[in-house]
Parts: sequence; C-alpha cells; structure tokens
Amino acid sequence: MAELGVEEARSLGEMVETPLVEFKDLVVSYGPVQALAGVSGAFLPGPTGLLGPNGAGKTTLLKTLLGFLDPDRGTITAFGRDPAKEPLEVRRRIGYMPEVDCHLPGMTAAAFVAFAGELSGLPRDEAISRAHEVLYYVGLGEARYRTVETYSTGMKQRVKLAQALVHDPDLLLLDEPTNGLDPAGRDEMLALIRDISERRQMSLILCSHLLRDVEQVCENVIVFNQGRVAASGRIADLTGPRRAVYDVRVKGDATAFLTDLKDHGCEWREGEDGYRVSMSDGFGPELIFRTARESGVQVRFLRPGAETLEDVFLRALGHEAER
Amino acid sequence: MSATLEFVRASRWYGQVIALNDVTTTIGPGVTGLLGPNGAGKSTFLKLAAGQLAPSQGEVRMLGQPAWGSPELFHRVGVCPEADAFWEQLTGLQFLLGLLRLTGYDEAECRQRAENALHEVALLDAKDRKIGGYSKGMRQRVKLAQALAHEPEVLLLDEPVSGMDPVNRRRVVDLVRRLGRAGRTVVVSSHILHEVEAMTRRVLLIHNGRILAEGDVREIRDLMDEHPHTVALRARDTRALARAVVGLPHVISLTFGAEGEWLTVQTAKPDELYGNLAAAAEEAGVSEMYSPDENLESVFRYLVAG
Amino acid sequence: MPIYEQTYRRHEARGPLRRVRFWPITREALRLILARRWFLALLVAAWLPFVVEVIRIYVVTRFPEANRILPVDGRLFGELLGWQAFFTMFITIFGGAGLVANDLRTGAILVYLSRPLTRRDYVVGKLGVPLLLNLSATLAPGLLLYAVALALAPDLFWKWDLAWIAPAVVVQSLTVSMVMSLVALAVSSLSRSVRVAGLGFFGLLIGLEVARGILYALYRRPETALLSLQADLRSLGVTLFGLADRSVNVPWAYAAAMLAAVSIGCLLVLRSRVRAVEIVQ
Repeated sequence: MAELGVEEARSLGEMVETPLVEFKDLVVSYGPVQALAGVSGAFLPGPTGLLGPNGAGKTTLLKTLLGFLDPDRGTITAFGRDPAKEPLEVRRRIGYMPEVDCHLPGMTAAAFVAFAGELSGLPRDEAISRAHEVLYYVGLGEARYRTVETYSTGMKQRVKLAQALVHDPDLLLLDEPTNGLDPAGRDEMLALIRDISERRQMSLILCSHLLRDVEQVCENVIVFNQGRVAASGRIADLTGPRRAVYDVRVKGDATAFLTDLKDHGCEWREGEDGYRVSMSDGFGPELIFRTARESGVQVRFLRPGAETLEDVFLRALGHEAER
Repeated sequence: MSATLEFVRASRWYGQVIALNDVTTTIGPGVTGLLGPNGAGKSTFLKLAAGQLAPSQGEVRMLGQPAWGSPELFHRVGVCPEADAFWEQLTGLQFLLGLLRLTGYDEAECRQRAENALHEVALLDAKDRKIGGYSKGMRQRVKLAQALAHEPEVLLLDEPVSGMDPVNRRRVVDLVRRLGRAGRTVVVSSHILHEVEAMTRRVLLIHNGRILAEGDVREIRDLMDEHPHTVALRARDTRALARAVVGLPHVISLTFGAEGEWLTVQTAKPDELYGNLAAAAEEAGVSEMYSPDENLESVFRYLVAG
Repeated sequence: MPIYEQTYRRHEARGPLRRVRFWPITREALRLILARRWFLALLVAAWLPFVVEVIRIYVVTRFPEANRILPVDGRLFGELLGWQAFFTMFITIFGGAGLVANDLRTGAILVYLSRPLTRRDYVVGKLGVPLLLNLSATLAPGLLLYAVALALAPDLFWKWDLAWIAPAVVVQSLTVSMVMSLVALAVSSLSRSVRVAGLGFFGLLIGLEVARGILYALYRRPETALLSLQADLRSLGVTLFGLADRSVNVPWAYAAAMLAAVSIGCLLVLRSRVRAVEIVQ
C-alpha cells in the first residue's frame, strides 16, 4: 500500500505544505454502527480525491470534519483546529456541497445563495453581490431569478456548488458532485471543478464512488473501504494495469458473440442494458465489431465503460463491498 | 384470456390536469408491461387498478368487482408503489410482519410469509436491520417483498427496478417472470424500454393519459427501426467512415463533429445502417457509437406522429 | 469558455463576521410567511378584540353608568389577552408549525448547520419567528390598549394601584408567546411534514384542553388545570389580572412550574432533533 504520510513526504525533500486536514486513528460511530474504524491520513493543499464504495465512510469523514459528528477516539484537525471544539472557526473556512438535495423552498437562486452567504457571516450587501458573482461563475447567470424548484438536476447541483463557494472558503468539500447528471452535465461540472482547483487555487476534497470523475480533477487520492483506509497516494501509482472496458448492446442472439469474445481472452458480464466487456491486452473495439459481424449480430451501442473501483483497486479493496 | 383487470372508458383528472383520458383495456393473467414516458399516467393507472383512487369517469373493475371501495380485494392484490416511504425505525422483518398482521393471518403464518417474501427478494440476512440503514436497492426490494407477502393473485408494480444495480435487477426480473408463468396477473410499469423487454412481451403503451398501442414489445424495436434515426460515432478515421456510408440511399445527412472525431449520420433506415456500418466500423477504428434517438420519448413522439 | 465569463474573485476583504448570527434566519422566514396575504389578514384580524375593548373604554367614559354593567378596570387587559391567546394558537400553527419540519424534509438543515452557526443560533433564529408574530398579537395590542386607556380615561386608569397593568401585560404576553412558540417548534422538529406538525400542535393543545375539561367535569378540582397548556396560561392570566375563573384557580407557582417544565422539555426535544446527521439506532 502506498501510504504517503507527512513524515515521508518531508524526507523526500519535496516542498512540503502543511496539510489542511489531518486525522489519526479516527473512530466514528453512527449509533451502534462503526462507520470509521480507525483511519489516519492527511489532505494537502490542492485537490484530493476521496474514493470508496457507498457506505465506506467517506461522507462520515466529511461530516466529522464539519463537526456534525464527534469522534469516539482519535483526532482530526482542520486548519490546525479541532472541529469538535471550534466548529464555527472550521466551518467558516469550509464550503460544503452535500450529496443530498438541500434547498429552501420558495426562494430564488439568487436569494438562496445570498442567504447562504449571510449565514456564513457576510454582511448583507456583500452577500448579495457575491451571490450574483458566484451564480454567474457556475453558469446560472440567466436563471438566477427563478426559484430552485423549477431547476433541472444539473442546475440544482450548480446551486449547491454556488452556495458552497459564496463565502470564498479555503477548502471545498464536494460530495458526489456529478450525482444524477447526464454525460454532458457531468463533463461541465467536472470542468468547473477543475477550473476552481487550478485557476482559482482553492483546495478541495472530491468525494465520489466514481474513479473516472476523480481522475479528471485530482492526482492524489485516499481510498476508503468499510471504514478503513484501503489505499492512499497518487492514482497512477495505485492502480494496476488498466484494461479497456466497453459497454455494448447488440441486436440478435448474443451467445456466439460472447463466446467468441471469451475465446479472444476478453471478459464480459451483464450490464444495465447489454454487456460490459473487458478487453484483453492488445485488443481494442475493432475486435467487438469483428466478432459481432462474424457471429451474425449487429452492434447497436458502444461506449467506453466506467470502471468501478473494484475493477481498478482490486488488490487494495479486497473483496466486494456489500451493496 | 380472461380479464382480471378491466378499464372501461376510465378517466381521472385532478382539477384541470387530466392524468388518464378515456382508457379502455383489459389485462389478464401473465405479465403485462405498462410502458410510457414520465408523466404519461402509469402511476395513475396503477392506483386506479389498486383501488387507491376512484375514476373521475368510467369504470375500473378488478377480479369482477369495482376496484374502488371493495376492501375484500385488498388481500388479493399486491401493490409496490413508486414512492419511497417507510417507518425507518422498523427492521425489514418488523415492517412486513406489521403489514401482514393487518391482513388477518395468525402470528406463525405471518412470520412464515414474511420470511418467504424476504427470501424471494434476497433480503433474508438483512431482515433484522433497520430500514433506515438500508441501501436504495434494499429499500426497493423491501417494497417488493411487502407486495408479495400475502401471495396475491394480482401484482401491480410501479417502476420496480428503477435505480437497481444489475444483480438485483436480474433477480427481480426473474421473480416477475416466474410469477407470470405461475398464472398470476402482474402489471409492471416503467419508462425504460429494456427493463420491460426483459420481463414480458405484452405491453401497453401509454402516452399523455391515453393508451397508444397494445401488443408485442419487440414490435417497438422494429418500429423504431422504421423511423429516421440519428447515429453518432466517434472514430479514428471519420472520413473513411463517411465514405463508406455516403453512397447509401437511406442516408439523409452526414455531419462532422468537434475536432473531426465525431460523425453524425442521419438515416431513414437505421437497421440497414447498422448492418452497413459493421465492416467500416472495424476499419475506421470506431470507439464509441450511440443514438440519441433511442430513448422512449423520441420513440413515442414518432409513434404518435404516425 | 462560456461558463467562466465572470471571474470568481477571492474574497479579500474578510470583514468582521456578523455578531448577531441568527438574525438572517428569522428575517428570511418572516419574509416568506408575511408574503402570504391571508396570513397578514390573520394578523390584522387579531387586533379585533383590541378594537372592541377600545370601544368599551370609550363607551364607559361617555356613559359612566355603563361601568356597572361592563366594568372597566385592570381585568380588561386580562380578558383581552385571553382573546389574543386564541389568535396566537392560529398564528403559531400557520407561522411556526412548519419551520423546522420543512428544513428536515428538504434537507435545508444541512445548509444551515454547515455554516459557522451553532444549533443554538438556528433554534433561536427559528424561534424568533413565531415569537415575534405572537408578540405582535399580544404585547403590541396589550400595551397599546393601556396607552389608549390612559389617554381616554385618565381618571380611571392613571392611578398607582393600577400601575401593575403594564408589567402584567408584558409578563403574560411573553409567557404565552414563548410557550406557544417553543411547543410549536418542538412539534415541528418531530415531523417532516408541515401539515402533520401543524395538526400535531393543534391536536396537542386541543387534546389537553379537552382532557382537562373532562377531568374537571368529573372531579371538579382546579388542579386538573395543570394538565392543559392553555389552562396553565389562563391560570397565570387569572392571577396576574385578578380575573374570576374558578376552574383554573391553581396557585400560580404550580402553573408557572408546569410551563417551565414544558419549555425545558421542548428545548430538549429540539436539541435532539435538530441535527445535520440522521442517527439510525
């Protein structure tokens, strides 16, 4: 496991920045369930991914960071402070984009984001001007006078991002920011997050169960599984050899087609609508077309697949997490 | 096919909004799919069938009796609604037991039925965990278990596999097919074509509150193939691809996309196009192919347009 | 790139944080509620008893004999506040029952609590809404009536032994408003549905009152008044203003203790229910 602690980083002689968030042997429970069973790590300035299947403890860590949950054991500090003891100071410098929907009914986007700014301590005038600025930035400039209920999912996600940015935090916590978005929306959201991270130089923790989202923004990642740290470090260092994966749908009887693919060393399993084929080394999608033609089926849909975490971090994650 | 469920000129409106408009149809034993885009009236249809709503006009009859106001029908009909509303503090088993007791079985039989139902949906090992701690897929399955537990003759399932992962979806699909083969009347609604295709062949197409068509679901795919389609392809050599198809009579237009990586083909005969593309795709290095028209809304739109 | 035409400024001027953190919460909630015309109508209607009492005072000044049939003295204010309590129930239901329930339902509670706000700020902010609305229907008409009484009938009211009226009005108004608001807020935090919370609050008050009525009819003991919140409030009013209502004639200390206990209970409920995380035991 490539666990890169702060001490090791120092010894490498790299230019070390103080971590924004550090946690050591952290144990946090939700009632009787232990969501974090002793985790240690640090988030350095810049973008870091927080990966893991659903229920692995990622959101729990974020919530402990925000001071919503108190740790049973262990320590966690943000900006050098303890969120359990000084929650207001910590939250002042954090922007949180939650996974779940959270809006105030009856308010326009502009009013809502301005209100969020005021709640973060901004004086009213400043909150209003910041709200408009931020809403333009996330691409909701035209729609900012409509109530949030009338928004599509993509727009609602952007409002959530806006309310996290309005008070100009030092650290942005993004919990599944591409949830419910179609591919175009997802690309736009990730481009926006990349812009925030690179050009505006805001540190962020991108929490997701989709590696492909995190990959587009972060180089470093911490992987959680079942309440423990499964891996941490640079993505490139942690993943094994990556196989090309495709989602395919065919018209016709697929039995011969799938057997042929298997003969060529590819693996397949049933997907949502069609099959997910994992190509063997050296073969690309042309094999799929060729095999389809030879076995008498028509390819109707082909898309590079979204690898699951298990596909990628097989060694680190061990067995499949319970759904 | 004997009729279990009959709609005779049934309509249902809410103020000015008409959810179901003059619907006449009969449904018998086996699995019938109710297919339509969101807002077409599927949930209203199922609620009328379940006796949860009264028709504003017309009749809805279930097993020979009016669906509305016949309490004796409740234990012959199982309903799995779309909405997600539970008492989060109960465990899966407690939830089922509670509902079963209302049906009037004795304690031992309640337990037996609850456990059977949980077994059918593969939730037996999570039966003593609180529903509040269940994942989304598990909650769907508990809803399904609740509809099955009293072994009703008729099952009304509103979007039962929406949002489920492939493993659980397969389970539910197999379950539905088994129930259909056993002679029960199962009505499954969905806005996703391939979900319904997996479960049955008989479908009712519903659109804007009216029944658009009844028949074999595979005809939909064929119908789709008769209508003009756009197919988007990403390839290494889009020009070669374009050369391969430009001469075909059914190709209406070709558009090159961003940075020459994408080619969009509009065709009057999609089935032929896919056939024609087979060889060219391999040579031109196609790595992505999809049709933005292959969604239910588009299908319905041109089915309605005729 | 079209999305980023307006640059995002780093917020250089980190001005001082507001000192009164909860006020925006109260202000926005009030704005939403007062935007509804029928609610404004309710608030206006709550001044009707005030108008009636003003007329009464006026009548008595013009026709002093009327003082024997409709006596006008300190008790007048107690009666007024008794009427107002009726209005506060409705004002609280429509202005307070949904406050926390709505936030729990839409997830907005996360928006609040992920800010540099304590849960106390949140509760105080929300509490302010029904509190201010109720005070506008109790304290305002009460004190205004006193001013009117002093102006119209100085010979009746400008006396030292009636100087207790103003403080009594203040105490009674504050108590009624505060208790109603706390209970409504606590009930609101127990549900996710505005309707359920409103009905729950209404049911609670009416239910306890009905129970009290039955017990009193059976046992004829004024101690039964302790059971109902409204009776406790009335009993305080009785003591403060010297009204005659034997059915709620308990020593005020008991009524006060009961109300205090209820208030503390509500605060405890709020403390456990206002959370940014769902604890599933």
